[in-house]
Amino acid sequence: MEIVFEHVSYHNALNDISIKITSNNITGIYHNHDLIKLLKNPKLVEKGMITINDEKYKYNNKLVSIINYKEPFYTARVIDEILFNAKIRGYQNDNIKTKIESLLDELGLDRDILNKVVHTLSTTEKYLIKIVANLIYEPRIIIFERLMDNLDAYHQKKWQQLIMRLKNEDKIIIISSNKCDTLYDITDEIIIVNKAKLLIQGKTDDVYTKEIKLLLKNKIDVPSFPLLTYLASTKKNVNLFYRKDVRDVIKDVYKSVS
Amino acid sequence: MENILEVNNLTFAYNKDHNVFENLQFSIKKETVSLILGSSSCGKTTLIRLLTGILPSNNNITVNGVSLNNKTVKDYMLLFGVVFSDDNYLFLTETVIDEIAYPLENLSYSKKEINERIQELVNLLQLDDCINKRINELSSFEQVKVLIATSIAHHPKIIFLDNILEGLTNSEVQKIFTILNKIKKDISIVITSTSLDYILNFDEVVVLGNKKILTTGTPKEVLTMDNELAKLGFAIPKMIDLSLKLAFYGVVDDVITDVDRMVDVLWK
Repeated sequence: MEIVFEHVSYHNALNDISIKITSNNITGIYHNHDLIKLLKNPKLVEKGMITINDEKYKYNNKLVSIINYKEPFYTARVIDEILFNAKIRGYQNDNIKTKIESLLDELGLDRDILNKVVHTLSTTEKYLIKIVANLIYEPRIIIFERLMDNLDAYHQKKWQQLIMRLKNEDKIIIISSNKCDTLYDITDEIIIVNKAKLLIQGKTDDVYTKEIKLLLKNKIDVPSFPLLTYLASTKKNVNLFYRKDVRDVIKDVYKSVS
Repeated sequence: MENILEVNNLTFAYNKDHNVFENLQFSIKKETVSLILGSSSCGKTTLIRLLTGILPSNNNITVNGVSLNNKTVKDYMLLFGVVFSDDNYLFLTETVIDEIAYPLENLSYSKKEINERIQELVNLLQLDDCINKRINELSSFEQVKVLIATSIAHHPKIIFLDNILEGLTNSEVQKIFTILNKIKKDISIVITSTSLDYILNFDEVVVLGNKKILTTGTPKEVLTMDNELAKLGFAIPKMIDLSLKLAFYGVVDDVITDVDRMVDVLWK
């Protein structure tokens, strides 16, 4: 499955953008919400076209889930919110309760959260319930419109495991975030739009290792460890490997300073 | 430095079976930007609701030495500004100007006073680019600046910003702290967060967990408890984790979050 933006322009925010987003990939969009705005409402496209599998893209709330932790809840109780999301999309499944419980388990939530009133939930719980409510109807395209950046370590790990599971189910997964370190850790592909133009689209590891000069030139934040490696090389002529794990970085740094 | 806020033996429960806090005791100093750090669901937002009078707190809180017991809604308004992270509470009007004017109108400021105050806030918070915008046209960064402007418009003593740094880029966060460090001379600032990402920007940190205050101190003092913080579920930010581990091996002797500076320190 693939979504293609062909020479898309919107307002002053996007100018002649052409990108392709495919399934079996986790695609990150750095610091830009307009691409997702157009996926929510493709009628806003002023020039160009968005297609899905070569057909004109139309927003379909059964196919697409857009997860934004700041969106309001529509019902009073957690279970009602989840069932409401399924019902308005015409989703029916005799085993829906089992599915809900399975998603709660995957996200590290207690099952008794189902009977809680939504306004008593913490910010993290609201976010995770939003995820459950938006995955229950088995969408094909999953968009984290506003990724919650500050999940605690336990729930962050659970969420990442869930995303990896969904990635392997031939779904399109898009994550929008302003935190480049988060995107570096979890995405396969990254899209960076700067001043309304596509600056770069490519494999995340390639963009954040081979294109750092381009990113810095355009004042785009670079993840910490690749930046460390880059600056060590360009400023101090010290060659380190590009690493993600802090233990590997420490070994490399320690060897180079000893 | 004097305390602006003192909390003494604060206990609170939404229902009888489950206390959110038990005998909380901490203080916030004047002219500081303080962090209330707590993991998910520990009660940070509930604490702000208690401190600002949205929930009853039973004579446990003093501001500038004066108890908040029997204070009116207007008294609370004059003392505090508050921004909650829940979007339902964020904006009440349609334009930036109306949003900033709103609390001032509620406090019966004259039109002249409102216009003057708005201009001061535009200068202080660098709102020139967005002052004439509609709320739905604002970027996340502009939204945060407008929220801060609205919370300080009426010259409160303290403002509480609940999880306000969420969703900003690193550069944008640094710009916000530049603004907050200007504001703090007149208005003390308290920010809540689940994240250690920007901890070094704060003057003081209060760590909340297991229904009580676990520790307070400067950021570096709190970071000496990195193992305990990790056990509580906090994700240790990469550069802080790197600094602490390199410090353990004697390679650096400070917590460094700026990558450029780290490179200069490591390879002098």
